[in-house]
Amino acid sequence: MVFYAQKVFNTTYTLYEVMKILLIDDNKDITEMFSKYLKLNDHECHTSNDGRNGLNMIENQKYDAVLLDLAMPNFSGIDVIHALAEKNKIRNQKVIIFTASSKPNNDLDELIQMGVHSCLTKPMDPDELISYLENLEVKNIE
Amino acid sequence: MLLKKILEKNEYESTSNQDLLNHHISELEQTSLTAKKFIAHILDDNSTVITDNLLEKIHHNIRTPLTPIKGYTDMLLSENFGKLNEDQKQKLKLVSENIKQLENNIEEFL
Repeated sequence: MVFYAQKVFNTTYTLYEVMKILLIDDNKDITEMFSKYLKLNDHECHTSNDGRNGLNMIENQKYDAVLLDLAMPNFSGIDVIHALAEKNKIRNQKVIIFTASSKPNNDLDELIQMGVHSCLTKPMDPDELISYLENLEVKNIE
Repeated sequence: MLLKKILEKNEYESTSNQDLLNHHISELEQTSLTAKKFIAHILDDNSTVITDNLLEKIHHNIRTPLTPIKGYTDMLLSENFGKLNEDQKQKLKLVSENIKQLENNIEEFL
């Protein structure tokens, strides 16, 4: 996370955080939309439309949060979680499930036990998402 | 006399056969009933599973495309892609309200 000083009303300065987010979702419209919004809000957003490629990105870079879709062809979000857990790498990142499924809560306890941070459901207001991620960072700083 | 005996014997055998037949029919009916119950049980279970999976699929397949629709509508309304005139804003608000309505319907019915 990088902190930048931002000038407010020409007199005071405040700190704002630039978050580095990874969004893994097979739906390109979703990754493009959230990526645009995060960038408009001065955050850094990396995307992957493929679970296996997303796993490589998680393993090779540190992100402030990883938003992970569950239902993806070939290599699902669950596969990503299992692969990370097997290598004891899941707790190195804040992996947040980002799903349109109505059932994630059935397996959520197990996934949290494995090291998943939390779960968000789609559709979600981009504003709500930013607010959630920013509060996540505040909690982390505390 | 002999004829009577033969008739009685036949009647006895016939009755006996009828009893046996009835017994088998009863057994078959019982088995059939059990099988029917068993099949009904399996079908019921399967239909629950099938219904659950179908609903989950519908739920997922409606909510997924709704995500960029909702996101871009919010971004357009926030004028992230440029200024809007009042008429455009009103129309987009209508879209946004209907998206919320659709979301509520999905939650309520699925």
